[in-house]
Amino acid sequence: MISEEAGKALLRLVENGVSESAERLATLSGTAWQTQTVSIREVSADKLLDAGAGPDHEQHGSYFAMPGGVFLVMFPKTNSARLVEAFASKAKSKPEMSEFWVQNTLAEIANVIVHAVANTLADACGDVFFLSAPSNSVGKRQNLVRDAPNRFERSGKAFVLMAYVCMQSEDLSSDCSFVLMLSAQRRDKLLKALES
Amino acid sequence: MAAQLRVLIVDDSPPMRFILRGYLEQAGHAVVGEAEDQPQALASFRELRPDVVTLDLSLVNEDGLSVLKALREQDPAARVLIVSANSQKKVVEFALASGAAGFLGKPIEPVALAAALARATQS
Repeated sequence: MISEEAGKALLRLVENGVSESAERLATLSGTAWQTQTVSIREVSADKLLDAGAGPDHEQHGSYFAMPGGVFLVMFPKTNSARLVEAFASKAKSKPEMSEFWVQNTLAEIANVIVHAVANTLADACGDVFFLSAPSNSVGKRQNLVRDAPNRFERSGKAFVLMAYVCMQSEDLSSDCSFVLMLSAQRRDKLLKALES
Repeated sequence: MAAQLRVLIVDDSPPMRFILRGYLEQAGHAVVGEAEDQPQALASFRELRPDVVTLDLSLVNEDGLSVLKALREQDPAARVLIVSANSQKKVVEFALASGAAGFLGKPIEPVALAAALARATQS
């Protein structure tokens, strides 16, 4: 199990990455985002609890896998349209807002913000986190989170280190949440690098 | 005003290609083609002979670093500007050591894009 001190060090690192994510979201959308929650805990992958509180609305989810870990970014279906429009507004012409366009735009936004955290973690431990291209899915938050451990390869004990983040934009009436899961092996490698 | 460049965009995200095309055209450059993967990138490069290729590192079927290698093997003088959300230190170092003409992190802003293109096409 992770020590309290190690947990705090990891939390600070994730918070730094999340701060960068919020800045990137602001650049993409042209408006400020506030971080509501950042938390870290260890859970057994086969008894994964719901990540965070709040209504269980349908979400646009994007999974980004890497050896020993996965990031899941979620945008609620009901209030992500304005974020998609804000992203496209920087270009000269306006695209047609099809479901394909909405899902792919949210996946690209998710790609940019998730890498803010991945880059921070990787650079802190002198490692490389090469994330997959996004794999998109629509569903209830609980189901998307519960499917996350199946999206990356784990060996040995099925414990995962889970970080949960929630961000919100008042101007766009949009919010974004993401979950990071690491296998025990990836967690140990990260903690060892932080100690040295 | 910078000289007009002929640019090939390689990125598997349609919205990203849309934004990048918009920025490039607003700056007076010509987007001569778009590609989503390595085979399309190599074929388009061969056919269109762009001045610059913008290349994402995270593509569906392969990683951008192997596409970079393939482009440079096809033409050692190819100018490839990496445009990626993955700006980890080791990744940037490796990409530049592998012959990338520059590295631009996402999210892209027009001013940074113009500066990166200018640096990439200096030599």
